[in-house]
Amino acid sequence: MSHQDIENKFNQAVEYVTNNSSKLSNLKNEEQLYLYCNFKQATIGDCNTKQPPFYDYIGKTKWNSWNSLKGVDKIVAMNSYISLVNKIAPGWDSNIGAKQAESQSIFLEDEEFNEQERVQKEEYAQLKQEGREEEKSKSKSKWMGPVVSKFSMVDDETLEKLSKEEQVQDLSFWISENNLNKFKEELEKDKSKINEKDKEGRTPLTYACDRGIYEIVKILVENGADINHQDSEGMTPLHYSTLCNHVEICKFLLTQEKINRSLKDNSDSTPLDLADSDEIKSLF
Amino acid sequence: MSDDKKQLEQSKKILELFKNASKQAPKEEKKRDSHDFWDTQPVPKISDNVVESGPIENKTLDDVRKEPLALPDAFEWVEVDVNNSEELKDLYTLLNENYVEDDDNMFRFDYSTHFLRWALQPPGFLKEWHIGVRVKASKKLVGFISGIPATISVDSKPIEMVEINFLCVHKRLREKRLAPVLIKEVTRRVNLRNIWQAAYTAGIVIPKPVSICRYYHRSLNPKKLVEINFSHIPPKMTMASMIKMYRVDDKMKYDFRPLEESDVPSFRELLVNYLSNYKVAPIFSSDEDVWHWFKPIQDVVSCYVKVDPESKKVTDVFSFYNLPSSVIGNEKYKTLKAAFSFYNVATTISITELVSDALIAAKKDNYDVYNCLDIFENKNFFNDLKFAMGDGDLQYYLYNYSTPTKKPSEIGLVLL
Repeated sequence: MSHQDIENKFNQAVEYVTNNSSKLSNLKNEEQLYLYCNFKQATIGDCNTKQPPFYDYIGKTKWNSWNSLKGVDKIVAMNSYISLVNKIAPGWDSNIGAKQAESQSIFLEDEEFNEQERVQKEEYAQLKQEGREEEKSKSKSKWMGPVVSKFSMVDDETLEKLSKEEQVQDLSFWISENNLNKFKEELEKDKSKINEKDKEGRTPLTYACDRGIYEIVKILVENGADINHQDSEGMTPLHYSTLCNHVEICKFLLTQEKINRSLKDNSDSTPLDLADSDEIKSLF
Repeated sequence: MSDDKKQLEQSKKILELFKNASKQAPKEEKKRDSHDFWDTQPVPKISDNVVESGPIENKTLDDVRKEPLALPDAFEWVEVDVNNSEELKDLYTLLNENYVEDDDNMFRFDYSTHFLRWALQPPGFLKEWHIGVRVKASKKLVGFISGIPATISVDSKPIEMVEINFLCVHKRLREKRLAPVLIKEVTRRVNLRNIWQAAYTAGIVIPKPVSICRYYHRSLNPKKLVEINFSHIPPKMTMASMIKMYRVDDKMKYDFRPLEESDVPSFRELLVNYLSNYKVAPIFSSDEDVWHWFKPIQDVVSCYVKVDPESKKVTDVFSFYNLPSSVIGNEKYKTLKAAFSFYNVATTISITELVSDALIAAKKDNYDVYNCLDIFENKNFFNDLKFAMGDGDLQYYLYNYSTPTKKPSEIGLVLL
């Protein structure tokens, strides 16, 4: 295929993905990310935006994936994109011609609509060039009506204050903000810190059990983390796991030889007392 | 330090963090066409300093165009009959796939079919105000807007108007083009019935808000909210402390029971009396109205009353409606179940005690979160009941009526 052919095919694939987002909503996260970063690389080129703040987990994951493609040729990224679409939606391009005709009859018969479409595309291309296409999507569908609101995220300033107050750059911190690579790196450097306590008396294992990160719980336990450590509230890793309903982690901890399942926290509760679900209770 | 104290301190810390979360001012819509459109409409300019209330233009029926507005050839106007299950399903699908999303495109409102029937058919509703646009060839529903009749009191003056809602245009049809046509068409049909004012809300600032309000949220299922990114755990805080902090009692503290039809006369008296304290509020002028809006319907609207044992009169009431959102692109969860505060009146207990019981009722019905605006006296219970600020502003608007700007606490109107 010539470069032009690849680009055409790529544009069709992008259109297909955009129009079938509901059908494709069961894509694995990795697949979504793969599409995202190759799209960015193919349309914009090397990552040119600021790294999102660390608490913006989704934004950061997306940014990392795009940034990891630095230097990859646009045509290569287009090809990667097309092959994944071929894989997840075999035959997606079989009736492109027919579909185009249909969409034209539904949406584009009116001359004005064609014009509108063209202007939109130009504006979009302009924004895309500046790496701001998100802005466009944000300002969509907002004539009137209700609002979907969710919790505000903690802002930079507060976080900075927090990190000053708490000398947060320890192993626990990296787990609590889900930066697992950084955590592994730091653990490799100094394994003696595996049971390091923070101000609340919590260890890395406390946070791993609280957040429910099975992989890290395993690494910590295999490297000799204290599985019966009680923090300043008297809670053990097992308390955290039952309270937060992390079934796999409870199972894993309960099979450990050294586990003490009857330690009580400061409110006189055992891990079993804190369990909310029958699934967890049945493990005891 | 005792454990309770410790727990309290943790809670405080988390709430403090949420409280300080980005308090940015609402963004004014920059899009040229939106403002271009509103500049042609009888609404105050953003810069207007309104001191007196009143209509902006006075037209008569003779001024109103008799034919529907022109649509591009491929489309046609239809009335959507929500009692016809096929048509209701078309409307449900249009909204479910294309209606309002949050700023980060993670959640989209998922109004149920039962909800739509309830919301669109209060006493006196007109089918001609349930306006759809279909593609002629395929009959696909690609646009919708609705009006329902309501009497709304503005600065103590009752005004017959409509509440405009559910404006939705298919994603593939840029709303730039169709939305203003839908707005003009609903205006025309409402005018033909000799009604000249409307109330509506929007997430953006357009000319000109009567009040700028903010959503607040109360977690009921913190773990799920974190997993779907509706909420988050601040670094070095624990899920465990959030779970403990947001627990509610199993049983309500007071003797609330679901509203019954025989409660309606005394409930209406209570409600009308209460709402007269607000500068913008609906007037429930008949028992039929009240029964329509508050009759408990499974998974649509809940209404609980506390009744004086002697006089049998309703003394306190709380109500909320069920407005779930689709969780976009999450493997584990498809839906977020949210309770939205509706109308609450407390006379024998405090508003905080009242809403505390409302949270228990909502938790029992498996809601993940309880949402409310900072309207009414709601600010008074946010701290005690552990609400945190949301990232969504909601502006209230009146069409063809200017009135001095109101504080959120002067608003006594809930639009679905």
